[in-house]
Amino acid sequence: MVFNSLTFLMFLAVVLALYYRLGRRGQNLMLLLASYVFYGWWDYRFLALLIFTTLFDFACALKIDAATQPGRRKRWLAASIVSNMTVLGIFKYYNFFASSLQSALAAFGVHPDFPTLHVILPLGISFYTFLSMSYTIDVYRKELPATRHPLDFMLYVAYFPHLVAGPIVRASYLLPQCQRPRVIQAAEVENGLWLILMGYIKKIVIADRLGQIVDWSFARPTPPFNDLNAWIVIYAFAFQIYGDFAGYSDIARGLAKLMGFELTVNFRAPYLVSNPAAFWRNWHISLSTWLRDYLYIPLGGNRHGSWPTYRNLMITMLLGGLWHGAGFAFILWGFYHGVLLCLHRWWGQRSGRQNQAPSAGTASALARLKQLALIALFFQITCVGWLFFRAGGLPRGVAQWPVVKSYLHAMIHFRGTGPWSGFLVPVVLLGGLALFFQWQNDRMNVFSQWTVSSKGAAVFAALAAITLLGVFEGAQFIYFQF
Amino acid sequence: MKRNRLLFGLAVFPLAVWALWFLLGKLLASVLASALGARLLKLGDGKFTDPAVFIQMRLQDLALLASAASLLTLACLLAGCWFRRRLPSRLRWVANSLVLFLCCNLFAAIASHTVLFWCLLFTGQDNTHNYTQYQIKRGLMREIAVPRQAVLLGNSQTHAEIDKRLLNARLGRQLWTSELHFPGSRPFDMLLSLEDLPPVKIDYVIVYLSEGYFYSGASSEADMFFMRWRDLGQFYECGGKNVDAGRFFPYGLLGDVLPLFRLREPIASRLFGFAILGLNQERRDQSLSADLAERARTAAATYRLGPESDFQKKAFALFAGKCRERHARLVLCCGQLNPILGRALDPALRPDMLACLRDLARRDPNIILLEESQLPVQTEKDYMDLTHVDQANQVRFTEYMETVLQKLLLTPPAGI
Repeated sequence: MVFNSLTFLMFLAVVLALYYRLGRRGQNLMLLLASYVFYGWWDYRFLALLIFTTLFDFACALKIDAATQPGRRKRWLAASIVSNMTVLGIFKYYNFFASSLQSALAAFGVHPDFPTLHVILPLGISFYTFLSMSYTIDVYRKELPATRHPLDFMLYVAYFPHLVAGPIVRASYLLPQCQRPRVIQAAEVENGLWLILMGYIKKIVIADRLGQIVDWSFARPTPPFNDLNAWIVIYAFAFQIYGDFAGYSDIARGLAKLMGFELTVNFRAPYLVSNPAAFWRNWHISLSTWLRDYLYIPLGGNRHGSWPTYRNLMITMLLGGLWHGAGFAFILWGFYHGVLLCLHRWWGQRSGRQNQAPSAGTASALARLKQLALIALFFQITCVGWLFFRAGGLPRGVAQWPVVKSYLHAMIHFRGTGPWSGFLVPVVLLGGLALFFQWQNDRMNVFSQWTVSSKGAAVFAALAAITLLGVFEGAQFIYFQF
Repeated sequence: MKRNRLLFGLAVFPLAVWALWFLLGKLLASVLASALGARLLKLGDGKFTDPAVFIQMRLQDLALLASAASLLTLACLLAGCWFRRRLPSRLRWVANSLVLFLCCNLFAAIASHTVLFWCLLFTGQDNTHNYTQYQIKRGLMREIAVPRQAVLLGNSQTHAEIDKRLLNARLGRQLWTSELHFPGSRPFDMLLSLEDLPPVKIDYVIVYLSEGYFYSGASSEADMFFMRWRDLGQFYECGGKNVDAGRFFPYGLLGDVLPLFRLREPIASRLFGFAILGLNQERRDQSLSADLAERARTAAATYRLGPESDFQKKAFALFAGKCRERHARLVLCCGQLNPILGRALDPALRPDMLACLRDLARRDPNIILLEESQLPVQTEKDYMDLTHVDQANQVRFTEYMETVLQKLLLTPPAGI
């Protein structure tokens, strides 16, 4: 079941109707069952995997909490991590690593025959394993007491708005919400409805319309053009993936608000920043903070000097790339961002003004202009990264590297005088809309504080945009595959 | 006070617009026609015959659109005032936005009945959405001054086989042909589009038929534009409950309630350019084999007898009945597909189609059935792909249709 389907809207209507009639315990049980129906709608067989992961981590957390000896606590934490990694390894990474190792050994004349697993990737596996794992780590770190109520924990993991594509909400944030009665406030319902509408605009108007251009262009082994259009297609993908994922996160947050829950903000204004560190503070925030807290900082963070910091950054970003998909294209994307972060850090230390952004009130016109130029420049740099990312999802039969190479060639050696395709207008219009949402991000989150006429006009515009410009073919969200 | 003046202005504006149209419409149209007539005729590409009438009617459309916009704005403002007094502020924005959305849909419904609106979405012969082109031609049917009219209905095969410009150049003084094909149409869609035609006298309905109409499924994109709630009865009468309705039938029903939804593809095409809408089709085409025989085998596998073909045959019988009710003779060219595809099809299909058509023609004297043996012979070389002939063969077939129509024009209709 996807958010942009009629089935989901009917499902939601039933869930909300029941939810508002029940008490907290009944609500939790109903939400858990509804979440399993939501997940099982896609493939009920993988429900067992979800339930196993959840219950195993629940038990591990109880054991960690109960254990007094550090060794025992560590063993139970290791059990939780190993079980989650095993699940991920089997279902997501085994075939990739086996075939990669096979190819590598073949170069040395060794031809092992590793078996191939014919399993499909369970929906949202990367999200829920990270979610569940973070809970046991938090319990181990004594940042959170282990819950005694399996139902609450199962709901925390499986809660359908965030189950398949995040945000990866920490247990310390969401679990208490599952454990106490929710208060439905009118202002939050208003905010939730607006977030849902905005999410649908981002998904079915921006992402799915631009997806038509991107899918068409990447369905062929070489780019269909050798001029500025190569850049336009990459811009289209940049806005498509923003619309797709930020749209999903908005809908998820909006749905949660309708039920009195609060999920963490996952996107701010990632294309209106001027450096990679700021980009990761604005893009998929729940993943980047997860990687920071559970990987980068435990690796040592920036506490041991420059080179260890660069190493930690690279490891974190490479694994972050790998989290997105089992493929070299995603690893390369992670590597690219790792290099960007290292360069940014090195430059910041060298010039002594790391992470320094001019304040809006005091910046001179020249400084603002410079900031704008930096934002535009960094957007181009981000877009090059998106080329690697998109190459990770090419259709069967289209080789990744020739596509990446030929796009890079077209982007670097473009003939500016080449014929402009019809893609420019949709990319400018829809990309402009995506940038508008980012520019007005803070305002978009406080819809309930708008004036009545602003609210009426905005909702009308949203309904009209969805009706007139939406693509209603129920295209999957890109992040479902991760 | 200022607000009342605005409301009064909005209420009076339509009266002023219509008064202007009655007083000056004809005069302005003839002045503009004398200055722009030749250019307009060229732009119209044979879609209308008299530029003065065309301009006058567009001015009428303009008056209608301006009046509708004015009255709907008035309605929104009045509703806003009413909500302010009656509803708490928490609910007012919901009511305001819904009223705005409703009024916008009403405006879309009104606008979609005017040729001017569709002309605004026109971006050239090859760069305009099919539905926009269809609506322009449909709307202009009322303005044709020629005593007799024919319409070309069906899918892109009808379009590929018969050149309406050539036909009008040869027969235009006696019989004006409007081409109202819609790509991918099947009999049920033709039934819907026939009912959608304006109430003008149509003498002939011409269709180029092949197996693609009956055996390749139940729904097509056309349903998204033509299906209405009132057509549900016919849908079930044809056996609709036994076929996969797909997404196009529900889309059509939604479009009947929300006219904005029905307009979304034509408007998106205007806003974003036609190129973006054709990309999915192009991507599908790219995935097809370059070898026609291979492609024919793939396509042939989708042509089959079953509930869908029964549905389309029943729909076709209803379509023939509706033609009779409109006193329009139904000229059926029982044609062919590219012989490469024809050979790959299930051999039971053609006899089944012929039996159905012959049976209909025997029972209904309003039907003129031209069987394949009577039509110009078309070989593999005459086709550009599996279904569409090239231009030389289009001319040849159109000339053949001209002789058929000339004979029909000399013969008084019998048995209607």
